Amino acid sequence: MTKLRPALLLSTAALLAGCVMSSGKSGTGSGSGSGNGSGSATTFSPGKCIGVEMAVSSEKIAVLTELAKNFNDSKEAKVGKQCVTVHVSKKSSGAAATALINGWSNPDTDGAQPVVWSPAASGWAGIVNQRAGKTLAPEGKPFMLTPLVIAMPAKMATVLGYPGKSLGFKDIVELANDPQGWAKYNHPEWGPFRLGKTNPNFSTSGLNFTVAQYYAATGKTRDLTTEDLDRPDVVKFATSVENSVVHYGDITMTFLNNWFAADNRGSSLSYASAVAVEEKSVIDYNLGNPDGELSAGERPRAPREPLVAIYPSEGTLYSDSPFIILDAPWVTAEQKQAALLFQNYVLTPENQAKVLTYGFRPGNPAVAIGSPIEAKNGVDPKQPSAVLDVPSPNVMIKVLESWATQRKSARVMLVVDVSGSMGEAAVKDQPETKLDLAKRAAISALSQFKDDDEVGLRIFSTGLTSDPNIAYVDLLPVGPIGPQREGLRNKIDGLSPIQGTPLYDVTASSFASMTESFDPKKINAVVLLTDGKNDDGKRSDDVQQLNELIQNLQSGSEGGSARPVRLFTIGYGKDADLATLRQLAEATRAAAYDASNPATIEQVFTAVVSNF
Amino acid sequence: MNAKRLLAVLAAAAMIAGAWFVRSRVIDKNTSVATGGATTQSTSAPTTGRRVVCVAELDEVCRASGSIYAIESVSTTLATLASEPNPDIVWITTSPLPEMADAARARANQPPLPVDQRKALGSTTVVVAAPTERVTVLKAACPDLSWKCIGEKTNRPWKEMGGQAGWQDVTFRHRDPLTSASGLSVFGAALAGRTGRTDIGTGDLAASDVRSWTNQLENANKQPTSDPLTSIVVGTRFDLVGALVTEVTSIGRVATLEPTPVARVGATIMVTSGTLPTDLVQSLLVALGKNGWSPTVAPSGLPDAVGMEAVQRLWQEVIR
Repeated sequence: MTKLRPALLLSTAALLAGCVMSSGKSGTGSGSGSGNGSGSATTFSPGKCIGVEMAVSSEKIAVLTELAKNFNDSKEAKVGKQCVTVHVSKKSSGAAATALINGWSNPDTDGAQPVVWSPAASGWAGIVNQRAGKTLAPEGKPFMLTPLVIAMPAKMATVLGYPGKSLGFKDIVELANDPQGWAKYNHPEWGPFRLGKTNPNFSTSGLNFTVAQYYAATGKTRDLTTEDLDRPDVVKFATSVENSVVHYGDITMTFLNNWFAADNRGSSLSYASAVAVEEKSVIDYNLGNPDGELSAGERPRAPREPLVAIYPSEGTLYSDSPFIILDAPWVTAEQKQAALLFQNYVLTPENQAKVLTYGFRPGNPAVAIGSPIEAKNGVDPKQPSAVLDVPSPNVMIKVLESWATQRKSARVMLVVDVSGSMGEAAVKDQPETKLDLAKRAAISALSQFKDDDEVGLRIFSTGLTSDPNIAYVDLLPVGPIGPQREGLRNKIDGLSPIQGTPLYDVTASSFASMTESFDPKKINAVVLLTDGKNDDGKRSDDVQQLNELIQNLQSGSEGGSARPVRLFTIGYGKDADLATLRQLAEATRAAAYDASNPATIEQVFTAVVSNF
Repeated sequence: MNAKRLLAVLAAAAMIAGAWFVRSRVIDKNTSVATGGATTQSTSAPTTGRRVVCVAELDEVCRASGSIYAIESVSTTLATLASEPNPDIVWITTSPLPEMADAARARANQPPLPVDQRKALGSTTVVVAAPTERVTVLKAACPDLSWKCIGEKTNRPWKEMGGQAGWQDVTFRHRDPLTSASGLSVFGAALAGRTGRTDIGTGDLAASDVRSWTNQLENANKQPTSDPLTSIVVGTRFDLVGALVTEVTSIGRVATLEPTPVARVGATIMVTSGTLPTDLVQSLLVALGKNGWSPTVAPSGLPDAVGMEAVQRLWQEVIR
């Protein structure tokens, strides 16, 4: 165990992460997909002031927006006689890292070039510098902290002995391995133990959790080695944890929003038993704001089943929110000076107290931890009692490599819309069609599946055959992707647009087939890509059809004995029925992704496949 | 040129400049200068760039006030108020749209608007209008006149309730809640009625039973259609139309019912800078009274601002 040193997470993990971290603009609202995409669409014009654009990870957008506003109005916002204006945009750590490595060359999709970058944890800076071959992101000043915790419904944690008993990964493994699941604790209605965890290639909490679970397997709190990761007992331990995963994903907000939505329906206990998140998220959830950001019409309302934060007895890691003033070619000396003013402003005791009100632990040790980090919000300011050391870069790479082989396998049916509209130009006056781009994205995403993942391909459209009742055709049945990777690639490549869009029919049938062949050892999912609305030639029964479909999806996904098949939907192009796709995805506690700009389809596909 | 002639030329020039000014300040693509007001001397003359904006539902009232004003869609005014750092607008609108503007500004990090320069002016009720004989059938089928019951009957054959087979399915229409104060009030009242609460949020409206009910109630609104209130006026085929009672009282052959819980919509005036123009307020109060608005009964039964934002979001998700 070491003293608190939360930073320096990954380093060379960039070798893996850099290629997959970018993801596209995606869904909104509860249950929707990642918020990884481009920065704020707001155009920032500093006028006569010195402009300081700041890209921050999503969990701190609210607090930094408020601080920037106050700073801009304050007398501190001056370099000499010139005023300073700070503007904050949301950008996930992984997506920002990738953009920086690539020179932040496309402001249209990446957002404005930042002067300051604040990823979730300092380790991302190491990734950027290593990948770029130069120090673009010098060491930043951590200005607020939040530890990784295992969030559990209080009811479940209590059954396991919380708060009297110190819980950790070993308890999770024991429960995950027990075929009785929660029945062992006289709660068969909760089903098996289900863990929600993000993909460590995308998400800081997913990465921290993976590192922590390897530490837990070895019993160490520092000096994790590559040899440790190969030990059979460590592999077995990690595999057991991974096997309990519901599905992965690129951001924790997807889990939290889904969990909250399930709570609204009174079924949160059968959606997930635990989710790896940051402490701040537990507070937000219990205050009725699961993703930490109140959107229009969202009213904070306490959940029926509050969460508690389990600080793993084996130790945990911190996200430290570094304030990194970039050393990038587009950043001027004047802007650096202005950025430093804002950094100092953020670190004042007064503003550190403000950081605290958002559920973060102050980075300035002069400010004591207080409300809302308190027991009534499910967290414990005295924890964590053990903080883990950040492994060396070569071990981090090994962690990700090991995770790639030990993660829970997936069974995925790719359902692709080949209706006539998919043959339209993706971008006006360009030769490539929407289907062309989708094919390329799907083929590219295939490389993210490991050989024993099972993947199938179904296409849907009216007019596929001479039989008008046939709405879809299976080009490749769901099976191990290893031996059929090339075949799958060729099948996708050969797709061409046909006719209408029998969206509801194909959703119902795909969900039913995957439920019928459900494999409890895998993540069972349907990925549905469509560019249109339901159009099966019978408009009159659309409402009834949709209501019945949603009910079927929900009833198939809820309850302790459910065979949860997750339906991930991609609304592709401007005519896609995003609202319906979101309802369908949410009914299965999965996520909807927005690729209304066809140019983002590759990034979106990557984000979708991060769930597996 | 004598003095009189010089004065006339100056006056003409001033009128041209004034007309140009009004045009440049008032008209945009979602705005129309009210016909009654364009040639009328404004009681709150826009000499300082201030615009008087009315929701369409209060057109008659604004016209009667004698002000120069613009009719703007709700979404246009809300967008302006959310994006302009220092707007100078007098908004004659319905509740809780001023509070929705406050919320939108807060999210956009704009400085707050003065809340003490607002005044409630009167109220009216949300009703469902239909041909008289159909109202009779509906009342029999839904004795409690609850929104829940009305929603459950919608999209089903009239014949099931004892109506004529030729009436086909029950359809329910109203204006777009994103652009119309009337549409927002009707859809908001329906959802407040269905959920039994006015403090609704997106979480409440995400419940599957509420979604299913909304899908059923709003099915007719998914199809492009002419304005439902215009349909009533010209007598084309229609069933149930949700509206403010002040919009439909003068239409013959139409009966109205007040779904329960009864929702009352408030008329209100707000200014974004400066003080309330008292002369305008007075003339609005008079005009509201003449147009059937109650000056004494307080608004009730509608979602608050957060709730209305949730209602608009549901509309986008269900109807889009």
